[in-house]
Amino acid sequence: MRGSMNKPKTRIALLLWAWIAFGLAAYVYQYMDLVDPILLALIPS
Amino acid sequence: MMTALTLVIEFLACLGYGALALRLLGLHRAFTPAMHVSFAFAVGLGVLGWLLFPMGILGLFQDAWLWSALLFGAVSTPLLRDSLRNWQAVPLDTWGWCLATLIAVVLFFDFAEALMPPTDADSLAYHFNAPRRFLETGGIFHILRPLDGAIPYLIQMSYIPVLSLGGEQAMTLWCMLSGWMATVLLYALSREHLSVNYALTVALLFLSAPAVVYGAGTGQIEIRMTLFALVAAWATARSLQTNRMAFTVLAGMMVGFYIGAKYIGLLFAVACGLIVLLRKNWFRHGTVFTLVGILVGAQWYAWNAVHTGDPFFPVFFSFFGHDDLVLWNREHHRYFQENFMEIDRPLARTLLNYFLYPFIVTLDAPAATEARKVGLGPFGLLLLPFALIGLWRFRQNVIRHPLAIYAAVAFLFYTLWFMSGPSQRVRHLVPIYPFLLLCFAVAANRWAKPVYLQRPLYAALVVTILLQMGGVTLFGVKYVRAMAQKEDHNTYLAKNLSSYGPIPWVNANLSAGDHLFHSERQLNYYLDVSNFFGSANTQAAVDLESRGKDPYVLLQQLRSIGATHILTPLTRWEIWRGGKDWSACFMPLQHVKAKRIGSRTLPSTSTNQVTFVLHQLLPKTCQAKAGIGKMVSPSTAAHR
Repeated sequence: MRGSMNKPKTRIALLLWAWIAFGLAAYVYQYMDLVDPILLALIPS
Repeated sequence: MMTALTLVIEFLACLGYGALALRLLGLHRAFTPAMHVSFAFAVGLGVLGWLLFPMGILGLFQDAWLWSALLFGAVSTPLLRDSLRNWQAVPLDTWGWCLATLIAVVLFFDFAEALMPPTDADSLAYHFNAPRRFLETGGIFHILRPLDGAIPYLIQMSYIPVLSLGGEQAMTLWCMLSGWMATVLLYALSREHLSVNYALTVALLFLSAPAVVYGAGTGQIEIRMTLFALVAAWATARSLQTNRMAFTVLAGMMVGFYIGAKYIGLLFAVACGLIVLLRKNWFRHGTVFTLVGILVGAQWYAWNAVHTGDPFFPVFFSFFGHDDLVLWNREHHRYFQENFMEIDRPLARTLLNYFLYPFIVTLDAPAATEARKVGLGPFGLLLLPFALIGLWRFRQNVIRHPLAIYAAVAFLFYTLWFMSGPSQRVRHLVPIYPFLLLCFAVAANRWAKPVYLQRPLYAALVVTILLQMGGVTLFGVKYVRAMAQKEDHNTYLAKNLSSYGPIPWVNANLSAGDHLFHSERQLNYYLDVSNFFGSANTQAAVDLESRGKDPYVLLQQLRSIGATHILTPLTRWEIWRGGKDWSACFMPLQHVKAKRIGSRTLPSTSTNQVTFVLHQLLPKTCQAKAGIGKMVSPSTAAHR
């Protein structure tokens, strides 16, 4: 009984974690081509 | 010493003017202490900007008058003494201290930026340049240039006293300080709905959002408009809840200041105005709101109408524009609309794009929106499900919640902006971004009470903060480095300001009687000599587009705006010249190398060398060679 009540909660939490992971990955992905310029700006030669 | 004194006096002047206005409206008891102080600053900033307009028209931009304007406001600061006395320090827990420390880090980077000479192109083209030129002439004159000339300057008016009395450093520190006050106000407003830690989180998320980091320390006005937007929405909400006319007047004043700061303030005024009408006695409140808004916000529109015929120059120029302007005519206006107005709108105005715009600019932004580097961060995206579920869960109470009015104002503004705005740059949404932060944070916080929901919520907040702090560090590190290395003015600017190279030579060798034509808008502010910035879009007097020009025609066009010298990239000059001998009309004075910098934060992405050439105009020999009877004489009216 307790397990079945917790199921929707677990599902919502999992969906939220998945959304955050997906959103974060998609957000960061657009900056991948800037890794070198960012490093150069932070650590000038 | 004068820098700090001017800064403090102008800060007190804004507090004083605002406190006085709130007292006159009878609203001084309507706030918590933190709200009273920050609201007073917001109102006072608008009042000061508003007062400086008539002073500028009357030619009173002299130190004595500017001191008077500041001191007159500062003497009213004691009206805030009760609030300052009752302001209690809030005890912080571990998380609170962590957030406060991160906020201090952002403030430190802001401070380092404010100590360096300004290098932001928009600021140098007009936000700082217009105040500098107004001060040189002792008053306001009309700048006939679309988008960054003939525009409302209410906020830039506040740069004038600090620049005149305290110098450039005082002005950049003023930008820092007035930008911080937007965050203080947001924090104070957040405390009405959130705990200390959540309010600090909202403040940090705002302060470290890329678009805020980009603009807050410069002369850009969006973050300062946030002050007007927040108070306007708050007053609109209170006006609806209490039906008190004083709140309606305050809302009208604040939208008036927003209108006086930028054209799109009109869209914000419509958004607030529609909400003001949602009541029984809508006509009375609506009329007062509109009249106050017009009275406060109309100054610069009337100024434009007097000089160009079009209060919203150049939007309605084809209908109302004067026919006798040297720099702008109907033919050029058509060219401008066809070639320029669409550039800033990369997404078609469709219903689908209206809903997708926030996602597109967050995840795959078109370059014209500038959202990749000057966006709002991932907060909205990551917290969207929390906010939506929270909204659904508490849907019964939402309509009566004060935040619903903030959300409605923001939603209406976004709708009007997307459907009719001239530009889709994300940073234009900075003034309404606090509403999204606040509404999302409150909805998520209320819903995600159980631990299993709190964990992902906290994770989303922490990840957003970490990413944004990375951006803050990346943006601010060059200022800290320059501060540590004690770089001198010229070295710093040569390194960080695009095309700065010719400036030292021009300033050292051109004299008071000379007038320089150039096409590098970011150089406007640093030129000590009389100058005219012109590009193909911004003026009709000099044709900068066609190849293989006739030197006599070019010289005549340059003379029509009073130019004695012209500064151009050598490559462009050679294209114009088409291999022909122009020595009878233009004498080369100097070739100067400069760096073109596409990004100040990431210079390695787009930096290249360019050679500029400075020519002196030779009207007499040119006239003789061309066999023309009479040359156009320099028009002093067009000098500006």
